[in-house]
Amino acid sequence: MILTPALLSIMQVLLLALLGYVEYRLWRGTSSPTAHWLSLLFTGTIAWAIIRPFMFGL
Amino acid sequence: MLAMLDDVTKVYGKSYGLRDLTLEIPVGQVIGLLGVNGSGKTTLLKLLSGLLLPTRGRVSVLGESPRRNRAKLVFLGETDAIYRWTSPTDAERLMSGLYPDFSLQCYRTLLDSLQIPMRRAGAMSKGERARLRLAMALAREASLYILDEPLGGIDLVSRERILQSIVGQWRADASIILSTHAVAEAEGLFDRVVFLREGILALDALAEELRERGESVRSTFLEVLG
Amino acid sequence: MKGLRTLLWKEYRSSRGWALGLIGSLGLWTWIVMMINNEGIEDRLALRSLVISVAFAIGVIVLSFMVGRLHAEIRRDEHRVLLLAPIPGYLHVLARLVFALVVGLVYAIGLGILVWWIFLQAGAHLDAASIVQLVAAFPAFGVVTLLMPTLAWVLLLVLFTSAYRLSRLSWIAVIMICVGTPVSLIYRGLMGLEHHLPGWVVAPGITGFFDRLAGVPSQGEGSGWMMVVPGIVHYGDILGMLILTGLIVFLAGRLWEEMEG
Repeated sequence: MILTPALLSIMQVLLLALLGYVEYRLWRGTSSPTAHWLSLLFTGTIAWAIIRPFMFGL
Repeated sequence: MLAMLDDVTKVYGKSYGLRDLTLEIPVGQVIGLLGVNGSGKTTLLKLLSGLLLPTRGRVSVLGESPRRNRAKLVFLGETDAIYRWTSPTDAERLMSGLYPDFSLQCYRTLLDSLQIPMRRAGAMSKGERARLRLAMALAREASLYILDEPLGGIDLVSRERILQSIVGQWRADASIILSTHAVAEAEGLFDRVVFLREGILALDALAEELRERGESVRSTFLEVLG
Repeated sequence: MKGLRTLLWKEYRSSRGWALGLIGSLGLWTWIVMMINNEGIEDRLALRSLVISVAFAIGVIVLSFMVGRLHAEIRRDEHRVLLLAPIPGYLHVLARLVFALVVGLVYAIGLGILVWWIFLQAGAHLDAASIVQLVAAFPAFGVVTLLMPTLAWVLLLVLFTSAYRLSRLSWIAVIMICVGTPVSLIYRGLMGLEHHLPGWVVAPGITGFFDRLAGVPSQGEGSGWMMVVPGIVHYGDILGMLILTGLIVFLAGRLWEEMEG
């Protein structure tokens, strides 16, 4: 199957939406501020890895 | 005031562990925390010890958060949680290194009175382990002793020894809050009883007042929570 | 200080079986290395080097499991006696890390001595500086650049996922940290750092062991000859890894302080 740019974009958006949901669950799932910021760092970095090719081209 | 819960709510996911609870613990009281399974006793005790943080409201021990003041409180959990490699000698070394208020003399007296065998915890019976954990806890000279089901799953002889040790170690400048299902056995200990039902305070009364009204803690338990 | 001493003793007491087992396994590796007696010197060296590499990798894995047992302690609530003690969280993390690193260092030095023995068997006599490189500096370098950040990360993994224990979301937290860490490292350039150890100088008067190895530069000197073994390239440098480990220990210490149980 050939991954067209449009299909890739849809996948990226879906992945970002999934990441957003995961971060929401993680944020509510603990009372530890350090865990909050760590989860934000990890989801943020993964999100950046997904967005980067979208912004700067593959 | 030694400790206080001010309008405290604890939520686990979608269910309530404790709801809008306010409680004051003065110095020098032995408080019985009573309720059926799932009524929020362990949640309350863990909030007081700082093991849990409230979803809403404020918990304080000697004016500060329990975590900040953890040197002043003792928590004995209901689970059979002790390192299996720990012998009474190891426990002595561990506790004296970690807790500045640990009294060696008191610990050795407790080991003797509770008749704890000198072998590692993994080779002890559940009752012997419970007695060792109690000795480790009571040998500290803390301000607040939080004991969650110290009699749970323990044989009759061990229960008697544990109750005697709690009475023997009581100090006027400290308070004990103790949850138990063995209401009849422990009721002689209590100055005050707090009944919880589904995370809500059902009754807070002085044991003496109950006795003056001709009621026992056990009969009140059955009346309020039955 | 008394708190840290007690925590180190506790680590020794609870993990000494693992530690002694790992150090004892050096006997097994020695036996395996001695069993390799291929005719060709290159084959023998390659196979014996492979055994040493496998032994080091297994050491890292075993020590990771050893410190990772904190997860089981938390699951069984055994850690409460430590959690409620009036001792800063980072000391709890540091004690576990330091004990595991000491065990790792002893193990790595043992492997270094084994490599030295392999060289001796091949007829290569190293000079004093190269022996120090082989049995002290190189193992210490491996421990600092590889073992230390790995074990610190394992502790962070356990404590980060434990923060989600009550909400039963630990499995999502495991996925996030396992995916997020390599991605974070790549984007922050830490993967790209390189560090060169100085080459080992092989003393003159040895047999023709090294001249049979292709691609090794040599230089004539005096009656015998000197040979410089190329410096060993490692990814990640000492300072970078120390800073990274310090940061991880700090974060893991905060997670320890904030843990609900």
